[in-house]
Amino acid sequence: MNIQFKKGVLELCVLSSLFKKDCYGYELVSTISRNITISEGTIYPLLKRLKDEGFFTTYLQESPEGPPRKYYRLTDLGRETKENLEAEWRKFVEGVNSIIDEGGIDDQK
Amino acid sequence: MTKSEFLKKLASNLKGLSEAERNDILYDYEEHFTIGMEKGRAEEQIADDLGDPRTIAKLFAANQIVERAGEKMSPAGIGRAIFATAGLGFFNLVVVLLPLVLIIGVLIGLFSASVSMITGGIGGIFTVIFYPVLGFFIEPVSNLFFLFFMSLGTGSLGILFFIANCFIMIFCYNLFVRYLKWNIEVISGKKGKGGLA
Repeated sequence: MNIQFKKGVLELCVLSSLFKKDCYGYELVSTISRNITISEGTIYPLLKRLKDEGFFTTYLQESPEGPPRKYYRLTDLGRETKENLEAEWRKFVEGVNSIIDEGGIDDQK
Repeated sequence: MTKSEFLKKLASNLKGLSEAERNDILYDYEEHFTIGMEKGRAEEQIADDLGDPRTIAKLFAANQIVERAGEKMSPAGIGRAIFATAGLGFFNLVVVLLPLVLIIGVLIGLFSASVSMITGGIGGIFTVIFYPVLGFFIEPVSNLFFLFFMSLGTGSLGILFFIANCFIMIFCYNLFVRYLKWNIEVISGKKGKGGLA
């Protein structure tokens, strides 16, 4: 898949995943890499940047299986941005699909 | 690659960052390995899926640069930004260094010219004032009057020129900082915050 698509959309994926529930790093990374082909390691720099920009906060939570895990939680800014990005994305996909579909119709002439 | 090899390689490529930041980053990857292995994945597999530590380190470096680009750029800040940009590729280094070298060259030329004019002016005035005393050292000048005002004029122009160069230098500095920031935004593929870019 085109690397530029991935780059722009990754932010949306992270914010959307965290919207549903707080996640720890590994969880986020596996969810995303399960659905998009991407080097898992490149997600952490994004998480750090988004955290520094104020889209989420982090906290430690005890885990039954081992050392405490670092959880990510969306801030208000994060939630707001998620809504905006999602709306932009849906509009974008809609637009592209209509071009593709209309193009398809023309081909059949 | 084993877990420790991965972390060591990552750490060494993160040298450009502060120790606190570096440790913060390494903590995340340590945790990633720990949880992955808890879930039964092999160490090498985890490292493999994470990807190349050098590429990852570059992304963290790029974050830093972009962050710095949002702040006021001191000469030290510019130096660090250029250095980090170089780490992102040779082409980027050329694109950034070449204009910088040219600007510095031009500024040196301008300042040299202004300083020369000031020096010449001072020299001429000096000659005129001390001509009675130093007359036998210096070539007789047909019109001292002329020399005096020429030198005054040249010296004054030189001073004005020098002052103008200072403003030019500040202007070039700000222009270069904006160019550097634009460069950084293009490299990181980021047009604005919160956009799909």
